Amino acid sequence: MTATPLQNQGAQTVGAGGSTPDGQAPGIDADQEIISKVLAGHKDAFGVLITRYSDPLYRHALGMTGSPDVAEDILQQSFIKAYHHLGEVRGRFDAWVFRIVANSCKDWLKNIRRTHVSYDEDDQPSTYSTPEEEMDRNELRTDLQFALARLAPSLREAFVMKHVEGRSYEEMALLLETTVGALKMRVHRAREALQQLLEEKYA
Amino acid sequence: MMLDDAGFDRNDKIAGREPVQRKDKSTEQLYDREVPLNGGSSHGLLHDWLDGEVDVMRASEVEGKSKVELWTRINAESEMLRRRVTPVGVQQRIMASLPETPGTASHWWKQQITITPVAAVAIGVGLLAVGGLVIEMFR
Repeated sequence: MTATPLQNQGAQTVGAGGSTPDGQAPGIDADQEIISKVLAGHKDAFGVLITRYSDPLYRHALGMTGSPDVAEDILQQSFIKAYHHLGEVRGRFDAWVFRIVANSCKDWLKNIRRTHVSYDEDDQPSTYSTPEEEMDRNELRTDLQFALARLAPSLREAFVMKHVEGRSYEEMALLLETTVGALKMRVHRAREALQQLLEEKYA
Repeated sequence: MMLDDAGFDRNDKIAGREPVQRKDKSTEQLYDREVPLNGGSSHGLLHDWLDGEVDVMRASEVEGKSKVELWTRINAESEMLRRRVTPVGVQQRIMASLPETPGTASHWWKQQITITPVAAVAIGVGLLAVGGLVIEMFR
């Protein structure tokens, strides 16, 4: 069984769909089994795929759009689209559904240019120890989002996948169907652009 | 702006126009070209550190403490985002909005067509008219 690069991982994520009864991570074979079940008429089985992949896909959409509401919409629309076209999956489900989400994010970025976004629009709990620390980090968060919004979508995508989602270049290459070298270049360009935009204030 | 500005100066001279005031490069959106960056090598060790290939001390020595501190803060912020999870209720909402049968979406030419009696009559009249026109053309 081969593990996929896009599963909800560890205790940090909600949903228990990330492991099998024997404690091993489910993989491509498990996904294919579920897809077969869904296509045979067991709609509820699709819930396992949603539980398994929603967190990393949500984080990607959130990193790309900067808006929890938009990220939720993109996630919902992407899973509905995946469900409708489930019979057309060839190869890995996780890479296929990731591309649906990634393309939706890029389409959204093409249509809407945002100059300011905040991650505090929803009710996820704050983990700051003091109000001063919270204020300080909120400022960096806002500035980082402002700087990210100025990057070309493919640079932003590469940065989000590397730094926010914590993926290896190999995983990124698999999901984006490109080379490790091209992705390194994109990440490096994104970092240098962000540094240029932020270092005057912070460095 | 994501367009290349090559040839700007040349065109200005030919047309005798006033040279176009260029924007400050630092304020423009960055080009999305996968080519080596000018002067990019000065940040080589910083990237190596961020990619986990060298330790922080070495990066700090070469790139400077301030840059390393900036990226430590950015990384801490990124770590926070990495802990974000799908909000409660979203998964249930997706499941609730799914139709009973999956994989039903197909190309339009494969889909079943329902024709009402009125539509059938309209199509028939249309075909007769087209046929009449064709016959007229060949007379």
